[in-house]
Amino acid sequence: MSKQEKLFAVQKYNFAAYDMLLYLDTHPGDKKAFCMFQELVKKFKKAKREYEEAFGPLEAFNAANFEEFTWLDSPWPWERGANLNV
Amino acid sequence: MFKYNKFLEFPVNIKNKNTRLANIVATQYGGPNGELGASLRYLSQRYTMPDDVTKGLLTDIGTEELGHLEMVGTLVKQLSEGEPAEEWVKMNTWEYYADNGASVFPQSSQGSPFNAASIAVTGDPITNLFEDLAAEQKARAVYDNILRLSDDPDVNQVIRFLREREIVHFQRFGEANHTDSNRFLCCYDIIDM
Repeated sequence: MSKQEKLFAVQKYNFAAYDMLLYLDTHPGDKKAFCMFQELVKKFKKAKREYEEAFGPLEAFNAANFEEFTWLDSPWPWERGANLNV
Repeated sequence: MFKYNKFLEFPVNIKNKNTRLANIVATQYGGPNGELGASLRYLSQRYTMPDDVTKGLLTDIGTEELGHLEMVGTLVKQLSEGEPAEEWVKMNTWEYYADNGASVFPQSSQGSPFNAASIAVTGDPITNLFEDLAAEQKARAVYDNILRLSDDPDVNQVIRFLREREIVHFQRFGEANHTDSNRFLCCYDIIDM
């Protein structure tokens, strides 16, 4: 998987989990939805960890997990080449 | 507090420059129905909401709107990045270029800089929620208009994503308003008048 494909996996699970979060905000007692939310967050964290291990930190504090400070490395999200062509 | 995630909520990859379209899309960055107003509206209203559902919902939707602000900013940047002055003259977008150059500035498509007068924060939970329902529809209508004006498929797939989010947020605000019809009953009492 390319860097952009790996990032897209992070974006997919982030989006799905966040959408479920908004649903839970107005349906806090929905146990099935909460299970789905737990699953999606687990997948998001896994995808994010895999991306970070291969390509560097996606949040500033995670830069502490590396030998060198790579938080500043391009591309930033708004730059050409940061995202997968979907 | 807020923590930054170094990725967009939805990928943006624009191949063709178009400063005219950048000006139109920028209205959802800093225009009257744009994402800056949306995030400020929700993140400001939440301080006085009376219950945990609306405190949480406004926090979470307001936060997502900041992500949408970043996506729209990315659209504007990639549509106009590095375009020389001649191109802004040719596209009849030189007014924007005069003040801002090829950059991302929060303004409406007609050139008014961002104005918080386009959002309402009333301290009344019912009024706030109806403001939010209307705001989501207004933003959705602007995205519809952009889809009518733009024939760039790279831009339009991002606009379609943002448009769908307006519909989901509208749904959630509606649920927050109706989940328990007696929840805000206290607000109709005018005991302090």
